[in-house]
Amino acid sequence: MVAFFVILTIIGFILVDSFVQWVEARQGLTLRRTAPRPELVPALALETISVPAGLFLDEGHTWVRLEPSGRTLIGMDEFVRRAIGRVDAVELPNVGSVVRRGDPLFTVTQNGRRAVFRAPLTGVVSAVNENLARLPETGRMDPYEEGWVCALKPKDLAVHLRHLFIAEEARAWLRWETERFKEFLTRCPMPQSALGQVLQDGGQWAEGILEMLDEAGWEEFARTFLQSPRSSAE
Amino acid sequence: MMRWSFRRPGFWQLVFALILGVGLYSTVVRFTGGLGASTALSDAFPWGLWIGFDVLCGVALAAGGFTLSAVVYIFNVERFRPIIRPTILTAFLGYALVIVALLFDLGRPYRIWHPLVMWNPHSVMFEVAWCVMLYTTVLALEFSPMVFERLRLERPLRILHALTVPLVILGVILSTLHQSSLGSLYLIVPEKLHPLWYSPLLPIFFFISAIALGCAMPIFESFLSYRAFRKRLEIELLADLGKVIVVTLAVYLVLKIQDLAGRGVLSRIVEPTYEGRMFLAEMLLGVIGPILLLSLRRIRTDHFGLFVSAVLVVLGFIMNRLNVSITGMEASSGVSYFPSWTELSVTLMIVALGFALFGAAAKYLPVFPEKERLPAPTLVEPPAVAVLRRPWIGTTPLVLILGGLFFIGAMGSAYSGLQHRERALATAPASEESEPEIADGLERFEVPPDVTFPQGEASPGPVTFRHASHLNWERPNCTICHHEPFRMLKAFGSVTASPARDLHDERHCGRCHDGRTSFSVKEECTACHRP
Repeated sequence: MVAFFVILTIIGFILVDSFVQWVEARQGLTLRRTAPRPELVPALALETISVPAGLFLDEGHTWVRLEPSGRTLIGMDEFVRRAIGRVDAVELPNVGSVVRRGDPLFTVTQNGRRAVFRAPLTGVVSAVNENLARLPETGRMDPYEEGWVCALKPKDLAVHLRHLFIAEEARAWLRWETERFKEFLTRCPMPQSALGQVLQDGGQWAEGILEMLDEAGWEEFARTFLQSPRSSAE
Repeated sequence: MMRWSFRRPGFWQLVFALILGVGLYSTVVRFTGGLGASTALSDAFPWGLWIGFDVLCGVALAAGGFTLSAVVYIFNVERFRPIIRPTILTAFLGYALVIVALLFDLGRPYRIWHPLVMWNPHSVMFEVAWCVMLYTTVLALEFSPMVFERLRLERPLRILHALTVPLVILGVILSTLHQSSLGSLYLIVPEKLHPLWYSPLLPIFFFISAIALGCAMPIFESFLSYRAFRKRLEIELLADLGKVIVVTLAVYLVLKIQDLAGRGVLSRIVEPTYEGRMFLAEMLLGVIGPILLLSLRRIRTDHFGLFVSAVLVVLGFIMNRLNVSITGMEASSGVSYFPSWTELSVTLMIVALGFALFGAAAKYLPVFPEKERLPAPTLVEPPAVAVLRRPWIGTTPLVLILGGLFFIGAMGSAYSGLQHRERALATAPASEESEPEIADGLERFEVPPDVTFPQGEASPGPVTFRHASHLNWERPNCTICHHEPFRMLKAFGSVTASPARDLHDERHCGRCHDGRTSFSVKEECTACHRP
């Protein structure tokens, strides 16, 4: 009797807590939609963004890791992960679907705004990171390991790899992208920022800067940074 | 971080305030009115929820502390170091709260220090008391570096650092002793505890299950910290703990079955009784379910799967301790025990205090490594909602189906146990009044063979006892003799081995051969002693 009662009480508390979390998350979402973020966030310099020398980066800001079996793991690179900041949902590809380089592979959603990431390689999706579906913030601190998005069984790997950057090339490209991103930010209106437009005065961008952009800004960001321009050539 | 301090109270803060308020009121009732006024305990049932849940399960919270510190400091598996501080903190809080619970439960709490000076090394309670005192001290020392680091006191920190390994060894020994001695505590009630739980191996079962829980608690805790402080989950580490749980629980299961079979009570698991069903529920929930779930790699490395498995282990463990301390004792005590609201509210208050203290420590002390904190508290979609939103992806439905199956199975079994108990209680008074109806099975009734007692000194001759002539064939009833004068089976050995014992006394033949019920042992010797 007592054992039965105690177990049910504990389960009851866990269920109530799930409900509370759900309500809080919903309230949190609406709060963020209406109010600007008051707190100070640390600025990010390129030096704090890691570029693992052994990973291939694509122009669409995805990374590719080759495994000895020939399988490849794919995710978004730290630059874009930091720029996006909070992630509300990740739409994963279906396991077994065939994707070609340049096709939409996965989508990141924040406040209803979407950023579509393009496939850096051609192949068949063989696995997805289900943790991302449940806890979209998985891998925020560790986009290259914990934050992998899907695994691909590649086709014509040797051909497609030539389009990707690695090591010094990747670092140089990313430096160039960071500069381009600063330029992009100076063009963007930021209605949610308490200070308005200040990047022209010099300085660095902060983590989660994209949370402050409006719909148009996101579209512009996706067009400028997430397209893989050479994809149409394949 | 600042915005946390100015928020209006959340749902759980309000619940906490409510629990604390009711709990404090119950505390006043307990310490002014005494145990009788505040609890459902009685002389027939002296240990209830406070011992079964607060003490037995509170001590088990600490199992994570000794398991992980042994793994890291003694077996030198360094990769588990990041999760050691939260588990030490839990262990310390667990023991501190056990002492609080003891103060509530002891009839005269102001005598709690007595075992310090009044030694009774023959008592199991003495060992338990000393283990609690010593291990709480060790845990306080193991926990103190977090405080000293916060206060930037270098000297004590250095001293403690040098003492770490001896302290850990001491802690592991004391904890091993204590986990098992709580099992030994129940060794002294063989006639009270139901045979499904009473076993000479009880201390070993308590110890092994504590190790399994010691691995499940850090998993459970990590998820709580993730939920409360958005702390990163070390999923690989936790998945490895999951593997250890599988092995430990498998050993536990095999031992348990061997033990039940060895004592000849294996079949009582499936008997439709209260105890049988509760035992089944406990095994499904805490042993078989987690073994199955955690042996699947997909589930072990999955956030939701790992969480569900850890919850199953913890619930099964709690059920085991409550079954040993309450369920298994109910039948022999003859009373129905259900805790009073005072007991419930005090227990809730103690648990809530544990959560609050853990939260406060995590906020103000360096419990988690600094680099692991996310830059700002960010809200993510709670797992429960994400599960509902995308229910049919991969591992989640598997976890839901398997975990749900075991949970519902266990709860169903426990519920049917309750029904059996109610039925048994409803019919019990009637059967108590009437004698056992052996006559009902008279067609197949066979009397045991004759028993010959050898001739003793100064005895006129050997006695052959014939069961057949000592029986009322209309209404044969063995219990007239066999509940007291001649205990079955065992008596033969002792009677023949010591013929000097006087079988004439009123505990044996003389009980009925007293001149009233039948002829007296003092009169016709040759009626029994046939030369």
